[in-house]
Amino acid sequence: MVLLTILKKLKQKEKEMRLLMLGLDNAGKTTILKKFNGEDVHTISPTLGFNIKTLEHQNYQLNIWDVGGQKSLRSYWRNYFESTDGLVWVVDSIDRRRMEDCTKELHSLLQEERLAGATLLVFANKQDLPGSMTADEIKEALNLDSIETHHWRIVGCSAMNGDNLLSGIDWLVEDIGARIFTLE
Amino acid sequence: MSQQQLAAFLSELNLLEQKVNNLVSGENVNTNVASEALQNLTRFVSENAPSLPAYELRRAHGEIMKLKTRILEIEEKTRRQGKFKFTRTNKEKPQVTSLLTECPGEKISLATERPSRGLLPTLINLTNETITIDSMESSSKDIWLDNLEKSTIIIKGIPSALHMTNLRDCKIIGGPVLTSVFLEDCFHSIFVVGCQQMRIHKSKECDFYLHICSRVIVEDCFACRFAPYNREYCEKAEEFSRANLELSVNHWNCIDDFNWLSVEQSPNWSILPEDKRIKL
Repeated sequence: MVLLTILKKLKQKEKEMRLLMLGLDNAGKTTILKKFNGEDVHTISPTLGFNIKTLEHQNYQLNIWDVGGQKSLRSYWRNYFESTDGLVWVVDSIDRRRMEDCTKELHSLLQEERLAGATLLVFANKQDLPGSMTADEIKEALNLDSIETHHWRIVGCSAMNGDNLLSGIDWLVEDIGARIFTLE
Repeated sequence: MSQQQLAAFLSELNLLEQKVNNLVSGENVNTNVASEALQNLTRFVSENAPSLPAYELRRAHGEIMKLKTRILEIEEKTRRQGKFKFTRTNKEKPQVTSLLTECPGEKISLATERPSRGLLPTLINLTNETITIDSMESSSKDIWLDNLEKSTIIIKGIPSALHMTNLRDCKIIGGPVLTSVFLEDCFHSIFVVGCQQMRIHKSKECDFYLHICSRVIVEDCFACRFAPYNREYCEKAEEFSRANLELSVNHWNCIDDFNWLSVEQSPNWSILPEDKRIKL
């Protein structure tokens, strides 16, 4: 408990949040990060290790970690769990074929003790593509309603044209802020 | 590495090899489990590679290749059994095939009419077909080719992305793709395509003629060969520029094999020798 109080105070001083962005490969994690930061999204390579961006948003300093989603990289995800305030799970809304895989990976993350306190934002990405599943359908497919351990929300977005990225991150930041920076 | 460390390494190596060996012998082999064990073994060897005597390294690599071939053989055998069944059903219902081949356009419109279903295959379950997807059908859409055999698919226009799964003995010829190409479970096929990103999973004996502005990722692949995009057609320059691909920047030989962390050349892919390249 003492440690927790110290941690809270430390964070309060800097108003810092650590967001971890995960999801299957080809979901658009790096594209979301770059678009959010106003960078060019047409030259992105598949992520080999991870990208980290620090940016100011709503008077908070966001440290966003974007970790590669290739199958052989997923076993390294756990190296990034420590002191994560928010988990951003990115879904390729058109890739129905791997939706089961996607559900499995997400739910196994939610079992992780070190992510127990994190708020979950699910980005149903690629909404701009014809044939993509809607956010509601993704919610069903990922069985999000069964989550009772985390605050969560799903937001349909498009990293390519930037739709809804801001509203998703805004909600996440507010939810985390209300949790870790206000007195209980 | 001291003698002691070497002995410890060798006994650990022996254990891991034994494990894979046990997994691939006998009936009812689970190739997924075996592949995973082999991956552990490969990782263990590449992590220790810098400090190993050349002889031991060579021997370990030889052993890995042998086990890998064995797993692939088993996979191929299971696949062949499945394939046989598939062909037979196809013969019993020839109507299904002809319907699909006659109007590939209708398949696509089906996908757009039901936007809520996720991506539907643009072409599926075809054998011995030659099909052209024209630019009206492809432009700004995700194209998905699934379960095709001995077929040639020509893709005109600029699709948003290209997904290809379960292709055998196929030739896929296209221009640029706007974003990414995703490939899984393909065998003995040829791909001619331009793109920003490419991910190749669980495929073997495939040849790629690529124009790519980032890097290629291969994972669980074997005997894949790469060459630069060599197809000429009249709208090429215009299409590549519309897809944000610069013709002067091509990283066709920048390949990251996720199962090969060592600095040495991965045994899973190679450059396609110039005299073996096809001309289109």
